[in-house]
Amino acid sequence: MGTDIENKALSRRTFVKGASLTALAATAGSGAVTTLYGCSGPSLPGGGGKAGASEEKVAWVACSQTCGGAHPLRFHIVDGELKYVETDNTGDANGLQNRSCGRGRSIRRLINHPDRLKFPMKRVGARGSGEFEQITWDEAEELFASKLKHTIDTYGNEAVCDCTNGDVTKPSLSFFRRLANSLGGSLNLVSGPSAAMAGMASVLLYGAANILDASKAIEAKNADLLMMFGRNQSEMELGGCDGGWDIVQVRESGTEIISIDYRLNETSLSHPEEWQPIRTGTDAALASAMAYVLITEDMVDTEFLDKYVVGYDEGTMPEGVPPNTSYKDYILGTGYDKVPKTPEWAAPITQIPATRIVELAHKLGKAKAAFVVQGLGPQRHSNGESTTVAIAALALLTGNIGLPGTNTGLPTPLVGLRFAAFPPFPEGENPVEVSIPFNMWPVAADLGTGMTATQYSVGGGVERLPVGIKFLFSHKSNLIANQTAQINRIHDILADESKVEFIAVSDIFLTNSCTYADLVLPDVTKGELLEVYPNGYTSTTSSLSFSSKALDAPPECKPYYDFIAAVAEKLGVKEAFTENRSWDEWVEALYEQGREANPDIPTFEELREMGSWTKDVGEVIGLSAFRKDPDANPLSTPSGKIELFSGTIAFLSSIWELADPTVDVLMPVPGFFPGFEGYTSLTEDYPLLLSGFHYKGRANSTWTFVDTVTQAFRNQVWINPLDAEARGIQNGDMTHVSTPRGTVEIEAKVTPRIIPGTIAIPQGSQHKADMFGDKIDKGGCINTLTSLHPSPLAKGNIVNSNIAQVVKL
Amino acid sequence: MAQLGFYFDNARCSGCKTCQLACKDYKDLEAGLMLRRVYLFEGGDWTPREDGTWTTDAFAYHLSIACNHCDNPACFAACPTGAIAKDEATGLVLIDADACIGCDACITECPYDAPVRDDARDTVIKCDGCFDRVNAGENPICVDSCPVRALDFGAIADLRSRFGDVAQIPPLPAPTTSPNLVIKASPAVSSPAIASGFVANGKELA
Repeated sequence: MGTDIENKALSRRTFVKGASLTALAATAGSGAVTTLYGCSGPSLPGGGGKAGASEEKVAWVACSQTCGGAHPLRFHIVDGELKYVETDNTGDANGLQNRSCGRGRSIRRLINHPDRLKFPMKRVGARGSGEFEQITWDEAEELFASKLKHTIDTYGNEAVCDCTNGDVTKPSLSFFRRLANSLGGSLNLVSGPSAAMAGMASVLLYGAANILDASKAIEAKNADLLMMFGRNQSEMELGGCDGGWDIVQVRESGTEIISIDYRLNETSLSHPEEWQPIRTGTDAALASAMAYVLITEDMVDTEFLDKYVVGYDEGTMPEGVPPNTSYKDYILGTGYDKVPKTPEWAAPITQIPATRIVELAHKLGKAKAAFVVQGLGPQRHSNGESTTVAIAALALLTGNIGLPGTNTGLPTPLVGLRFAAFPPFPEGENPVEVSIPFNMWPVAADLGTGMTATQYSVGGGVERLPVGIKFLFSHKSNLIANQTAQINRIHDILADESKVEFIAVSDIFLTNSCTYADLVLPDVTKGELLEVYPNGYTSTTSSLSFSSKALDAPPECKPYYDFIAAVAEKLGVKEAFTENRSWDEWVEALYEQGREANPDIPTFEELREMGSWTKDVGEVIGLSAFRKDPDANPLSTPSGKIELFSGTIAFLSSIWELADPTVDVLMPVPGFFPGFEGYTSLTEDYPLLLSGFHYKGRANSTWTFVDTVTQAFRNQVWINPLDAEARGIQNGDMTHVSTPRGTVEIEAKVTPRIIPGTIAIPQGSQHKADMFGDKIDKGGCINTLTSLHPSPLAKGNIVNSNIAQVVKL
Repeated sequence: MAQLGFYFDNARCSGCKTCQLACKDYKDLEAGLMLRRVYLFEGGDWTPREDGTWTTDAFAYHLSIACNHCDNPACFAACPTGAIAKDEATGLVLIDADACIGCDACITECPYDAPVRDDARDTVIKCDGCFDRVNAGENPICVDSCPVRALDFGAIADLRSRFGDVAQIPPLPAPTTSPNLVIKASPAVSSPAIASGFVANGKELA
C-alpha cells in the first residue's frame, strides 16, 4: 500500500470538491526569495532524460500489437537503445495523420521489459504450473519437429491445429500453417474468434461476397442520424485516422447520434445526451419493437422492401414456405410466437421505457438519411446471429441502404489496403478439408470424434471430427488459456495429456497460455524485425506502416520465421517453406506484389523513408451498386436479394442440433430470444448479467505486462451504484465475481455509467490462479467466467451472455 | 514575451490517455509518476419506473490537465529557495532541479497538483511544457500525440481569441493563479446532474 498514493488521492478528492485550496495572495512572496521571471532550465529534459546526448537516430516502426491497428511510431534511438517514441507527424495534423494510441506510446517499456521471454523452455511441471527448464534452440526445433512428425504419422494431419489469431494485419500469422501445408495440412479453424455470429448472419442476409460491403464510418457525416448498437469506436479504434477520429468529425458535422449500449461508453463520453442505456443482450428486442412502430405507423419504405428484400411480408416470401412466417408476421404477432413486438412488450425486456422506444423509432423513421451500425458486442451473445440481422433490419425497413449517409446495419468494414490485394505471407493450399468453428477448438481437443457436424458445425463433408487435436500450436495470441472462453474447462482438457499430446506456444512474455505449453518459444517483437503493415483500424484511409529492424533483440530470442524454417529443415521441407528467401527478402517481395496490385503506393525504399503512407479511400457506401441496379449487381445470396427470410436457416433448423433447445433458437427471420444465460435465466445465486467489452487499456491481452499502462487503465468490474449499495460495495473495493464456471478477484468500479442489473468486465486481463488450489483468478480475466456454449447457427462464442454474482471481499 | 498555454477540447476527449502516456515515455516516468493527469468525472442517478424500466441522468467526461504555467504560480510563491521561475521568453514555469531542496511546498500549494515528488531523481518535477521541444519550434509531446486533436498549445492570447476564456470546469477549482489554460466545455458539463459529479479514477491519478 503506497501511502503517498493514498495521500495524493485524498488531497485530490478535496480538490475535487471544489474547495479553493490555494490562497495565492496569502502566500505570494512569503517564502520566495526570487523574482517571478528567471532563467531556470527545464525541470525535466525529455528524450528519456538524456536530451542532448549524441548520435540520436530516428527509425520508423509499426506498433501492431494484436489490436488490428499498425500505427507508425518514430523510434528515437541513442547508442542502440530506444529512448522514446513519437508517432506519425507527417502531413496535415488535422488530416490523415495516423497517430498511435497511448499503448503504442508505451512500447519502449514493452520492448525493454525485464520479464520478456529470453530463451526456449521445455515444460517440467504439470501443465498450468508454469515450471520450465531452459533448452537450446536446436533442442526446441528437434522436439517440435519430432512431435509434429509423430502426430501426423500416428493420427493424421487433422490432429494438427494452429490456434493463432490476435492480429489480422499481421503478415507473419501463417508460418506454421505454411509448414503444415507442405506436410499434408492441418485442421482448419474458420470464422475467427471475434465475429462468428455476425459473419454467419451477414453471409445469409447479404451474401458471402457482400458482407464487407458496408459503408465507411465517416460516411455518417452525410446522415442526419447515426444510430449505433453496441458500437464503441472511440475505445476500439483509437488511432489518429481511425474510428475515434471519425466520430469526432461526424459529431461536429451536426449528425444526431444515438448510442445504444449497456454502458455509457467512451464514444459518447462527454455527450451523455447520445446515450440510450439498454439491458445487455436485448438489442434484438429493442430493434423488433422499433420495427413494430415503423410498420404500424406506416413509416416503412415498402417500395424498397418489395424491390430489394426477400421475406419482409407475404408478398416477397420464397416459394413453398408455410404461411405467416414472414418478418412482418413475427413483428406483428401474426406468426411464430404470436406475440406482437410492441414497445410495451420490449420495455421490461430492454429496460427502456416504451415512450422512448417509440421516440427512437420516430427518429429513425423520420431521418432523411440514417446510418444504422452495430459493433461486435451484440452478436457476441446467445442467439447473436439473430441479433445481428434484427439490427440490420432497421436499415432495411427504412430503406437506408446504398445511399449517401446510410449503412447496411452491419459493423463498418475496415477497408483500405487490407482488403485491396496487399498480400499476406502465402500459406499455400491446405490439403485438409475438415474444419471447425474457431472458438470450438477446446471442444475438438476434448471430445475428439465425439464432436459432430450438426452440433458443432464441423465442416469438410464429414459427420464428425475424424480425430481430436493432438498437436496444438499458438503464436502470440494468448488463445490457449486466456483469450478463449471457460478457462477452467480448458485447464481440465489440457491437463489430460492423453487428449492434446503436445502444445507449443511462441510469444514474447510468459502468458497464461504459455504455462500450458510443453515448449515455449521466445519470439522477437516490434523494431527487432523488418515488416510492413497495412493499418487495420481505419475505414477512412488506405495506409501502410514501415517497420524497420531498428533494435537488436535479446540474444536468444529468435524470429518466428527463422524458427519454423529451422523446423522445416529438420523435416526435409526447408526449401518448400523458404523458397530460398530470407525473411527480409520475403518482406520486399511481398511488398512488390502489393505494389503491382496497388500501383499508387510508394516504392519499398520510399516507404522506408516516409514511414507512414496514408490515402483517403474515397466514397465507400455499402451496397450502393446493388441499390443503383439490383439486376446488374445482384447479391451473392441464393435469391440475389437481401434475405430477411433465410431459406438456409429454415433448412438448417431441420438438421442442426442445438446445444440447448430450450434457449438456443434457429428462426428464418430475425427476432429476440433471451437465450443461454439471458435475463430470464437469472437466479438467486446469480442475479446479475455479466458482459465483457474491449478496453482501451489493452489490445486483447497485450500490454498487460506493462505497468505504466496497467496503472493508467485499471482492470475493474463495472457495477451500478444501486447494485453496489445492495452488496455493500464501494468504488475501489475488491470483490469476487462468480458465474457457474468460476470466480475472479477484481476491483469494483461503482459507476452510474452502467445500467442496473448488468455488470461488465473488460476482456483480456491476464489470468492468474492457482489451478491446483482454489482456481480463483486474481488476474480478473473474464474468460474464467465465460462459457463455451456454442451459438445456434455459427457455433461461435457467446461470451457476453453470463449470469453472475458479485460479493465484496 | 508571448505567454504560452494549453487548450483542451473536453467535447472531443475520449479519455484514451495517449497524452499522458506519451509524456511518461518522453520524460521517462515510472508508473505512479505523471505530469499530465486525465481525470474521469462521473455523476448522475438512476430512477426505476413501475414497468421495470429505468431512466438516468448519468454523465461522464474526461479532463486532461498538466501544469497551467500560471501567471501567478502558487508553486513559485511557495518555493523557499527560488528554484521555481517563469521563463521570460515563453512564460513556462520551470523548476531548477539543482536548487530544489525537496521541501514539497510547491506540491502542497499548487491547486492543480502539477508538481510531483520523484524519489528516483530525488527532486520535485513538473510539466515544463516540453521546454526543449518548444524551443526547437515543436509542440509539447502530449499535444502532438492526441489522436482526436483535443489538445493545442500556443500563445495564450491567441488560444483565447480562438476558443474563449473558460479555464475551469469541474473538478477543477475556481482559478486563483491566472492559469494559462483554455477549455472547450462539452455538453456533459451542462448536465443537470453535474453537482453529483465525482472523480471516478482516483487510483489512476498518482
